[in-house]
Amino acid sequence: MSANVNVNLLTPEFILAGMGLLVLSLDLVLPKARRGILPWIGVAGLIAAVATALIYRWDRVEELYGGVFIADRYSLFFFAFLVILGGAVMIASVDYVKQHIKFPGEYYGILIFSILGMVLMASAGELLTAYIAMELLSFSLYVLVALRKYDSKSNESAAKYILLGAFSSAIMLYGISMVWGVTGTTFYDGIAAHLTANPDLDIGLIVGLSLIVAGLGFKVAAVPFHMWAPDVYEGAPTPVTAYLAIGSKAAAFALILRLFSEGLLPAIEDWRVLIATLAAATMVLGNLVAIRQENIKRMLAYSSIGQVGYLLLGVASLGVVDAGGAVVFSERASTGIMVHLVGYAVANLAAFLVVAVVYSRTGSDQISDYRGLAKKSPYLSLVLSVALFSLAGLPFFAGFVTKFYLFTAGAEAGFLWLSGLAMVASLVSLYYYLRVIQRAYVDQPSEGDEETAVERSTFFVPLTSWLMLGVLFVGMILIGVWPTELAAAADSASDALGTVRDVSTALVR
Amino acid sequence: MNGVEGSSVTDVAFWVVSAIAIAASIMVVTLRDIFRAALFLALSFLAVAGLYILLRAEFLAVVQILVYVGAISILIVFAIVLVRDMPGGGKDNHLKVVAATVAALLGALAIFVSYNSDFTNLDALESSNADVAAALTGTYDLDASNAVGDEYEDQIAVAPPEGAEGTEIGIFSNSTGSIGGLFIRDFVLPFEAVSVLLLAAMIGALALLRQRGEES
Amino acid sequence: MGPNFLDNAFFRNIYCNLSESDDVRCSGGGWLGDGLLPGGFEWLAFLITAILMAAILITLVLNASLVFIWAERRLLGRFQSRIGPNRWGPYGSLTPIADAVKTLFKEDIVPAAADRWVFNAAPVIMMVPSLMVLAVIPWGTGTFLADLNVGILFIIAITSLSTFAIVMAGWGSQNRYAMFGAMRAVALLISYEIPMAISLLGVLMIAGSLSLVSVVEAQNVPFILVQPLGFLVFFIASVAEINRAPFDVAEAESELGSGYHTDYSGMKFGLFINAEFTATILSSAVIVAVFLAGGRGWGFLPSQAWFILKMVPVLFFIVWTRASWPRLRIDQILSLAWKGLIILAFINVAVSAILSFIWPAPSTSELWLMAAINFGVLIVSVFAISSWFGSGPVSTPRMSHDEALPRPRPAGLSAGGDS
Repeated sequence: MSANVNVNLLTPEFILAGMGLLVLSLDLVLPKARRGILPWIGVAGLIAAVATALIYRWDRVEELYGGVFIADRYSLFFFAFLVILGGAVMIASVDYVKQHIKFPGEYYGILIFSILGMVLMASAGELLTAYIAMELLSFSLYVLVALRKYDSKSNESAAKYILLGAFSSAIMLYGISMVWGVTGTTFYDGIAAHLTANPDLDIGLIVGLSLIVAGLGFKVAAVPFHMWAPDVYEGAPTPVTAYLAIGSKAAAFALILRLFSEGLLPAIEDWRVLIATLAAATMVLGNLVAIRQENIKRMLAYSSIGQVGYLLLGVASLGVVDAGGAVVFSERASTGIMVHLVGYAVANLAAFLVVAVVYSRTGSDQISDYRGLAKKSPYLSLVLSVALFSLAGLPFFAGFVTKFYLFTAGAEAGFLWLSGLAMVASLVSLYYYLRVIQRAYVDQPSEGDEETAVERSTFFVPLTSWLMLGVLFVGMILIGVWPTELAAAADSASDALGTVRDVSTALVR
Repeated sequence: MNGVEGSSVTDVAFWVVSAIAIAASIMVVTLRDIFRAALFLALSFLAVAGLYILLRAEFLAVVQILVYVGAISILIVFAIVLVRDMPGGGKDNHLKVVAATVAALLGALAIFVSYNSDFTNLDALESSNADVAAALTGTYDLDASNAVGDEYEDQIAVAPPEGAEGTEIGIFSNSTGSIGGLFIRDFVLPFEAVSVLLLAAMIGALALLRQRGEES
Repeated sequence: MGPNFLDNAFFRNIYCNLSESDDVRCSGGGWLGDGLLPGGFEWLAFLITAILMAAILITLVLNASLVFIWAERRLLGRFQSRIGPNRWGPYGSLTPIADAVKTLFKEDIVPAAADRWVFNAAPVIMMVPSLMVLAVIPWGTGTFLADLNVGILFIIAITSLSTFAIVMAGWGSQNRYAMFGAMRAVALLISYEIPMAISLLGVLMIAGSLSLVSVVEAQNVPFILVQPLGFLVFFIASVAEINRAPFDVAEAESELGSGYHTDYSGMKFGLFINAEFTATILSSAVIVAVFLAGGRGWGFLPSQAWFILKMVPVLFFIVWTRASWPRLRIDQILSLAWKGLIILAFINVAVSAILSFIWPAPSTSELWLMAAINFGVLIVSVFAISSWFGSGPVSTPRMSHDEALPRPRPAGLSAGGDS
């Protein structure tokens, strides 16, 4: 490869960055009344970015800058997924932003920058680039979390998020420097080559990898690095909470998946037990603590911690050691992770959007206040129930299929006990999801009860939210009933991970 | 370098600078007076810059002074001066012993690891990429073939001046050009991502702090 | 490769006398022969020579600042139709020495409320950056302590340290005037560091090096002609960085006592004053090295003499500015930096980048061409920026409500004193 890199391939990323700048500068120029079009301009830009990516990168496998940036099916899958997800969050926040946030331009501009960070995380082929992309995402999120600046909860959660986020980045950077010191490279395939050549791990490498895992664990809120999540989720503006729970996790898993399958796979026997333990702890603790939550955002926070446990189960089963002692990449596991991420994203976004709409009408996030929702707004409570059922993994909804993919992959890789544990945890989760649904549908006010916030307020669902919820509803059912297309796309993305690219072009080996 | 290389002068300088860095860091966490703690933080950064110079990474050293001492510490001090009500620092709390123990354990682990791990792969790295090697050691090996962008070699200021034996320019080695080459050639993508990051952070900070004219 | 100062005959002799160095330039030995120190002690020879050279340079510069104090006071006198100091020595030339002696013998007072440790450390720290910058300035051929290949960055980095001294002085005094002065100084220094650093980028692109020695070597045409816009921004920014009028809000006598050093007396006060004048001299030296081709001149004078000769008009210009301009208000100063100088500096960077892309290694005639283009850019951009500056509403700082009585206020830049 020469220094003339094919910059055309980066066009989608350029479009994203340009859209962010455009939205920010339009905010300066437009009169206040016209700023409602900002999110739609942003969404149009995101659609353009996805379209360009699909056109330029379809069937293309290329490494830019000697492997710093990898364009393949996997990147493409996550590009489309993450940008669409970001666009969905953007549309979902239109009503909320109008009501509660003073700086629409900054909100949408920084949201687009964070999407850029997410897609770079998925396509980075090198630790430092991945780290910087992750920081781009994190910094944008710090700002977004704090944007309700006259709300003390928002401030508190932003402070916690920034401090712990900075702490975890420092841990991860230290880990990266250890890995670099031992292997002499930060490129995933260089690390893999080193691990293959030196099967006995150096102590520095072990510590470095543990620190990287800890740093990433913070970002995805895996137990025992999850303490920040519920507080931050509770205080952040609800669309941002949804974005935190879905977008940042999906992007972090995109990074983890590529790092672990392309970089660390040869040493799988050294880390699979560690990851499996993390997975077990995460799914048990997340689901058990969720039972006791009274605030629905906190409940969803703990439930999303539980979901991270399932995804980590997939990471732990990324490779199997065959009879000859060679490590074989398990495409099923990575397909499972991707499919589950999509299903989880759709369902969780729907749930959070309902919470946001209810909050805009009632000003309350308490589960007890959801009594009477079915009467006031059958549509909202229907979507909420479907979303929660899907999260719990009931058949006919997205969650069932995606969990099926994931748990079978885990069982195949020899983690039968963990898959069993995951199923038990899913059952537990059904309990607390059902509590909400019971509250919405079944509970009747008894004598002397005060009216709940839902019952007091007049209800109507704004048009954008209504349409968005409809799309998500259809999505949940569609994935649950007819998952083949999605699975095929994820499969071809996993193929890209499994193939060894031509490494002779890379910069440092 | 100056006929002092490898002699005891560099050793002595190393120990002195390290001692200052460590002592200043300890002062930062133990002093009650937060203003003085901030000053010691700056001193500690300065000492780290000294370590960089001893490692012959003079560009890094100067950037360390410029960014950490001249900008970050100043901002910390500025914030302390603006919030004058905290000369005494925080109150004691019961986690002090626990925190100290954990910190000591982690420190011991870090020392143990850096003594026991095998960092020899960096030598292999130096032979494989001229730019990285130059950034690490300050010596530019013109013979080492560089897979990326040989055609730019004459345009960046890494090559040694004609006739000079070795590659030292001035009293320090010249790694600036190599670092620049890595920044704007091989790693231009993360470099640009950082600029987007800084822009987002700056806009965010302004949005969060702006008071007047909020309505406009 | 031996120490840099071997290029200078004087220090070469000292070094070669002491050491048994096999450097070619030592082949003839020194005045006293070769190798007074046993072999293996080259480092000691280096150390002795270096310390000697540093001591000579520091003494020279400190004395030069005394001369400059006298010259400035005389000049200010002329500018203001006064006579200026004239009692002690011919034309008052011994006045600074009398002042120095007086300062030394004054009582050294530390206010009771002061944070003693910080208070006492501040003046010392104030001197450090000025003296450290000395090391990298090429006073003439071979006359420099260190040819750092990041010399220019080093200067920018080191001068930013003086901010600490000012904050420490303000905080340590525990005095409101001092604190206000310190806050203003920090805001000003942080703001002007940015255009100062950016304005040098054009120079670096043309010279292709961060080393001051190489920058001087590259100036077949002085960079004040090749980089007029860069020079303009750099000059304004360095006048601001050394806290001199019209940017001397930090110690504005008419408003703040004397700003951050209000509470200092005796030699500590002397150190502050001395540091200020040293910084002025050094910034003129940097301007000479970077923009006026350093010690390059015609053969009939040694290069060191050319260097000092070139410093004279720069210093005169700085004094002239001080005498002619009223003090700016702090908000005007900051908006000048952020809305004016930074933009100009970026324009300069963009133009220089394009020009040095066209001519990567410019010959002398190409340098002249660049100069012509850059002068055009200078005129257009300064005109554009200043008309934009003039077009906006005149902003006056808002008062707190009980104070905000309507009263007439002169438009535009008003003399300091009523901020």
